[in-house]
Amino acid sequence: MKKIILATMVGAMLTATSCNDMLDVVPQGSPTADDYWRSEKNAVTAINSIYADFSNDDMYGRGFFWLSNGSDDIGTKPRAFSENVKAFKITGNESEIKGVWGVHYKVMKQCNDILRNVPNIEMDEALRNRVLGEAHFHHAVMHLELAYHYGDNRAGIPIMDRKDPKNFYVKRTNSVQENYAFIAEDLKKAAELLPYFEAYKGGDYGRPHKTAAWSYLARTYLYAGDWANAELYAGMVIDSKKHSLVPDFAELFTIKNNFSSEYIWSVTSSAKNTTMGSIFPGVLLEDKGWNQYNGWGVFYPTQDLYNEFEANDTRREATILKTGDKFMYFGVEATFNEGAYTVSSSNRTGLQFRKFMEPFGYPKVYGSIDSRYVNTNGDKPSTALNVPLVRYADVLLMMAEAKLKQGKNADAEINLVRQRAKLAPKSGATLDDLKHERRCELAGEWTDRHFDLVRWGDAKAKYAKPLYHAYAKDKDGAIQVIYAGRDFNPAIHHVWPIPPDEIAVSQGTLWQNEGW
Amino acid sequence: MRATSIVCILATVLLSAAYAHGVSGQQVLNQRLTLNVKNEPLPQVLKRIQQLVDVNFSYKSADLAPGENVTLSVRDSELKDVLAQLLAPAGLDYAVANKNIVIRKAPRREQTSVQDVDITGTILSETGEPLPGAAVVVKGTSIGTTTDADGTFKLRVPDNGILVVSFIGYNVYEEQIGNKVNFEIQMVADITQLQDVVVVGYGTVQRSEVLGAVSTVGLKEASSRNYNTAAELLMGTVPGVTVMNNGGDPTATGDIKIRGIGSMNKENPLIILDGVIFEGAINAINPNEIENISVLKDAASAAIYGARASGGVILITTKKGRTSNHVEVSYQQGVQRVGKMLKALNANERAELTNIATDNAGVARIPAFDAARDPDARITRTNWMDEIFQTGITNNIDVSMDGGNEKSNYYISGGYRRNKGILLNTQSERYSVRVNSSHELWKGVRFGENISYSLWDGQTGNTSSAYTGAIMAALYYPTNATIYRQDGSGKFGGVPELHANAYGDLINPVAYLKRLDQSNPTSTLLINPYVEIKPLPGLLFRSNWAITQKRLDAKEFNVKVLETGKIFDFNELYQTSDNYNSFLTEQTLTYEKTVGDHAFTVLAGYTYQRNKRNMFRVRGTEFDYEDPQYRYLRNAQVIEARESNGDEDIIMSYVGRVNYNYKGRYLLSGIVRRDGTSKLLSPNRWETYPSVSLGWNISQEPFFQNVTVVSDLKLRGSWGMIGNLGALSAYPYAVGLARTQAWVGLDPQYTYGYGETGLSNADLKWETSEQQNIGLDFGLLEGRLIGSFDVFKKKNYDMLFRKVLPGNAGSPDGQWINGGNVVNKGFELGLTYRKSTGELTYDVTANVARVKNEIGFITEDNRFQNTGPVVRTLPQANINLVGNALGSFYGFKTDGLFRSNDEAAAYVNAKGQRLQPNAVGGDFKFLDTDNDGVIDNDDRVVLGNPFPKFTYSFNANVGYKGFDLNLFFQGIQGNDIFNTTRLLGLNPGYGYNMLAEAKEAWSPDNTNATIPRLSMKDNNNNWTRVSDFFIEDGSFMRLKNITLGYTLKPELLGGARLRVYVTGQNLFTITNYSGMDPEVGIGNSGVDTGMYPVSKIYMAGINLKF
Repeated sequence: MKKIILATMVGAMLTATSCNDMLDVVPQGSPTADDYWRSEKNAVTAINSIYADFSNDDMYGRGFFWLSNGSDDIGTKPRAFSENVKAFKITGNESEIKGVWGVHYKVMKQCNDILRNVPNIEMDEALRNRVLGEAHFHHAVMHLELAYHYGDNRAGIPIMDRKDPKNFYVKRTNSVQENYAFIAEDLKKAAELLPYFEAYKGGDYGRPHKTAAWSYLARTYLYAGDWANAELYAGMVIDSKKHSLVPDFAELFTIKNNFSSEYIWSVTSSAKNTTMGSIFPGVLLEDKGWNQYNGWGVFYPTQDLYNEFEANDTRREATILKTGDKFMYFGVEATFNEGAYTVSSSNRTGLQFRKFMEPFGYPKVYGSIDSRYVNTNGDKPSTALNVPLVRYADVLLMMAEAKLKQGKNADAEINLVRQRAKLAPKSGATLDDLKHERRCELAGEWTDRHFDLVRWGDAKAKYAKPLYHAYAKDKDGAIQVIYAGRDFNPAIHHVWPIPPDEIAVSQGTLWQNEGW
Repeated sequence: MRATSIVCILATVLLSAAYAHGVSGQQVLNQRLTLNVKNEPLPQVLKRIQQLVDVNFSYKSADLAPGENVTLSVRDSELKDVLAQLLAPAGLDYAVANKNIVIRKAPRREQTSVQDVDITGTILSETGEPLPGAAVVVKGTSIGTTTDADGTFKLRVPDNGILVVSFIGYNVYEEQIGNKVNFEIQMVADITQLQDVVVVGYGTVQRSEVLGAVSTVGLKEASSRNYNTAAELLMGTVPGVTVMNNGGDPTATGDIKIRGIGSMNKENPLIILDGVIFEGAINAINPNEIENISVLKDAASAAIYGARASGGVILITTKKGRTSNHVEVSYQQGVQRVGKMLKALNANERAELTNIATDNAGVARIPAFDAARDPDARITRTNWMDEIFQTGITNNIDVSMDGGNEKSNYYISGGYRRNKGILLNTQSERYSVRVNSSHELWKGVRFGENISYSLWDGQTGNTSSAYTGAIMAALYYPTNATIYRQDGSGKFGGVPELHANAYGDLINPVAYLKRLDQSNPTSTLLINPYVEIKPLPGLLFRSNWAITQKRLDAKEFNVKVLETGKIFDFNELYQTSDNYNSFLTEQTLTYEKTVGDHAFTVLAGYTYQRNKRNMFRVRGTEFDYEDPQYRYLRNAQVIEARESNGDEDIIMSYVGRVNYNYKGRYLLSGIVRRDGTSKLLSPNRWETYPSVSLGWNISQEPFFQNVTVVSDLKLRGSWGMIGNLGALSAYPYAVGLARTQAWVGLDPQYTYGYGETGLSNADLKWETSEQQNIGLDFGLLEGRLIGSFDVFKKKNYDMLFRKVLPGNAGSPDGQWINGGNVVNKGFELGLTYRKSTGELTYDVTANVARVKNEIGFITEDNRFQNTGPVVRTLPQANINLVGNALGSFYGFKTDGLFRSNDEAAAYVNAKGQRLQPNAVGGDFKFLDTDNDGVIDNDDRVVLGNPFPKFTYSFNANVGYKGFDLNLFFQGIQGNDIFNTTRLLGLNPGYGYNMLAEAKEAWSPDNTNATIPRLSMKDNNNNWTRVSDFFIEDGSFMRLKNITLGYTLKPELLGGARLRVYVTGQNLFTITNYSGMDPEVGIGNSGVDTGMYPVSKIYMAGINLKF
């Protein structure tokens, strides 16, 4: 008996110890980077992941718009952080702005993964070109947005190592011009590889196309101060004849015109899912949405902006709601700032951007918000309206700016825009005319009035003037000042501070912009 | 004879915990043996008996007269008869406890002729358990017997005698017989507990042979307190073990940390339940099923469990059957209430203070707070803090049965506990069942199994988010709002519709809580069969198998929220299934041998564990009806598969241990372990970890025999290394791509994609924890005062953690790396004083421990990485900084407030420039700590950390004539808490109602204030910088428990034992912390986001044993 037991025991020990490769397991879950780049499908799913960040609030929800708030177009719901932006006194570490840096680099990194791996996949050439073109394009757009926010001629921003994703510690470039040059190269490649918008079927609307790449080239060169190239690429967009202005300015900002003839590049959005889409329209909507919707009421147009418009400019009423203006709100005609539609005290200016309000006009269905237009989740107030990033009017105005800067005549471009606004044409339009047109045409959009002013060298003078409420009076009976004149130092405030937490972990490759 | 006087212990290490518990003294004595000896020395004969039957002899060699050889021939006789024949002629007798038989000199015989009487009696342990095998003798005679399985005895004695009862581990009891014929004697434990068997890894040792920092929690300490969870059994009972509630949430588990936090890589204690790695949550274990707990604190003790033991090991042994049948029923019921509530402003005060804040900021007054425009906003209608709390109710019932005979025994128990929390609509429930049994199939082969099943379910509200926490919302919700609409519709009310925006984006906290609909049934099934085979004397083979299945089927329904304030016009149902399966097998072989004064035990083993997890989560939305009976996916119009995933990992180990002792004085133990894991790639996959410990029983040295003050003294030291994988993910060398969803297209469609968001690392290796420990165990005053003192140092190096990469790496999920080390140093002291005087018995235990946590090194790029929760728009408050504790609070130092505008203007640097150009009276004065003349981020310094400097506890038990009283205080000292309620509750800028404290804010009339001036603007960054204003001392001392019980005399109930008691918990707290409750734990990095507070509990209970 004992022998049997002993034998069993020894046997058990031996069988248990004999397999050494028992530690090999097959990783479960989603594919890994090493195993991923195998087929055409993977190339497409890889590029698709880029678009997920369009729903990221740090991207086109609020993100850099917090900093656009430095401009004279916007009054912001009173909160410490936005007051500090207005006063150019942020640290860069505030949670509203800190993450924007990383999200942009995340997209660039994924673009680089695609640029590194997709050339080695056996696949349809046309599709490969499109995917690579998309990657070059997205990398460039992210790169540009970061570059002009943080980089100047003293130092640019790090250009990621496209070959080695583990080489994180890349120094700031010597000048932002190096960044602009890199961005331009990417965009040129993108333009070469991408088709025209018309080549896409509906299911692929929202992917970049040739004229979008040219448009961003124009914008890049504008920031780089290379007027000739800006003119060249804006001109290529115009000459392509692929785009035209939508006749009615107000119609432009409607869901049905998400992909109109004027569309060049925008944030594709939808309200069908409670956790996705761009919240920008909800962010601009009246705080608490007159008790019908969770509007966030963050950014409001200033009276100063309103006053910029010529009296008969049709864009004014399409852009700004003022007291007494009628608008549709969940199927009911409402009167702005009257009765049930009185604005809340967090409305800083007494006005409201109207450009992005169309989705909130549709009636409720059986008492519920219609999720075809507006997100039912108050924590994610996205809509089915795409948020434009570049539209044809912007290209025309960039063209005009590039021409004027070179002493050329830009009446044609400026008048196209004015004509649509039902304004009399100008002849011999000046740079000041261009600035006026740009402000009126693109107010409240992501074209960034603040950096327009910085680029034009107008910020110091403009910001020194106070901004006023639309109608509220102070105790002396004068119109209330909402922001006193601000002290903008062009040597410091033309860029924003890099998040100090990023600098802290950068092993010396990042340093703070001077003066911040 | 006192146990303390036993000098030489030959008994070798007892091997099996399960076996040790299955044996009674009576069983030992009933073992049968055949023996033929001729003229052999007695010690040698005893040794032969040890080899034949399962018994250990202990004796003082001096008592066994040399030269007196014995001759004996018995055939299939019971051990007790053999011992009688063997020992009586030598003038010896014996006492028995478990498998240990202590042989000692019999009292001198006195032949007296007196009248004999028959007496009977029962010998009970301190806790009222019968003690089988206790020696009952008449003093000075050879008249005596041992108690049977029920602890009873019968004896014919002279009426003038003195009855002497002795039992190992207990003080000797003496009583004049007189006319008494029925005795019920409750023994008092001998606190030196030298013969206690201590459960250690893969076996047990006697306390005198423990070499490492090992603490035990016996039933004694546990009996009179009331426990919600098994974690609470460890609260304050073991020095160096910190159990902190993460608030009072009925669904929360306490944090258990042994000797601090060792690593950035989550290092938690390993729970071993009846010898098997327990993969469930500790709150799945019913505390009433627990027989005892051992805690292995140092590396050398824990090393035997290797791979996952660097955070210490908690060995839990559940109750086992005895040789007679018992039934125990206990019931508890109680109520609980909130301790401290925070006070918010009333409506009028809020309006006034808000107006001050707008005036101070130079902005227009908010219409809602203009009495002329909105008088209604000044009417206080609801005290939300009162409304979100309720009286909690706890019910607990446990039933257990056990029994058996010499060959088999069983223990069956079942329990149910319901805990209705103090926050509306929060509760938890636990059902538990356990069956333990063991059977001797044939001689030398024992088979047993432990089977347990528990089902845990609960519902709780969010109290950990600085955005949506229910308690935060109650503090900040407008008091002029009402719970229900004032129109009588019965619908929940929102913020007032007029000027709704003035009240911030909060939802009605009562509505939020009442709407909760979650179920989280988590079932844990553990099946653990084992077999023990003793093929040869001294050789034991144990084969241990375990299957753990943990299953969660969660359901959560969120209804539409349509009240004014923050509208969510959608409903959703989440269904989640999460299955975890673990398979474990352990084969160990133990051989023990004694050669002369040298005793050896050698263990070799192999273990293999495979864990598999599978989960999926589905979400359904757009339900037409929200009635509870329709909350099923079939009624959702849209169904999304949100996530489905799985992983698998394997750990394999070879282990060897040698224990050696010489005469019980010099002790040595060495362990070598080789661990392999599937989480790493070769060549780093396998690692070998050694450990060694030494001990010296000074009090057993001959030269120490004359020292009477010190009854016991042992010095021990250990060094060891253990690997730690902590929270390392299953495949850090092959990180999966993130699955994404995006909108693309004219009519945008879900477009799925894959992107790399975290980097793999193929070069990872084991994190190693190296620990040194020096300890001293002592007994003074004849063993009435015992204590132990340990000093330790623990260093975790090659620390594994998920490195947060710089933003421009573009990989937000970071990368697992080995980088850095953390050192924990500290000491632990535990002291117990125990005495009985007549019918009064009492004992007092005090524990104190200090742990200092310090990051010794961290890779360069992680030096300034912030961690911890995000609180609103503040930067993260925690940081990992070399030379400081993990997750230290990091921010600006203030020197209070500027008392006036002039004072603010006068705050200048060396060049005469203002340091805070925007500051006015009532703003914080930030210190220019780096003296560079500018206040900026470089002036941030470490402001404290969430870890206590000291933890201490004080536990007292008093017994008198059936009454028992327990008092238990617990304290922690020197930890810091980031009080977020002050951030949101004192800053009018958030637009919420504020704390009542806001009335004490700085104003020109109150310039000595500590709370900054009220302002809608924050030009001085008072509220956007983490500063020492928010960091508070979290020290507290709390009466965790007070219990008064009474045990009826068993005679009144036919031998059954009935105890009734009342108990109170958390009845008072001494603290300076201004938040609701200082017991916020470390789960949230010491950040109090209005956490669910620990409640005051009042309970009554009844316990019946028969």
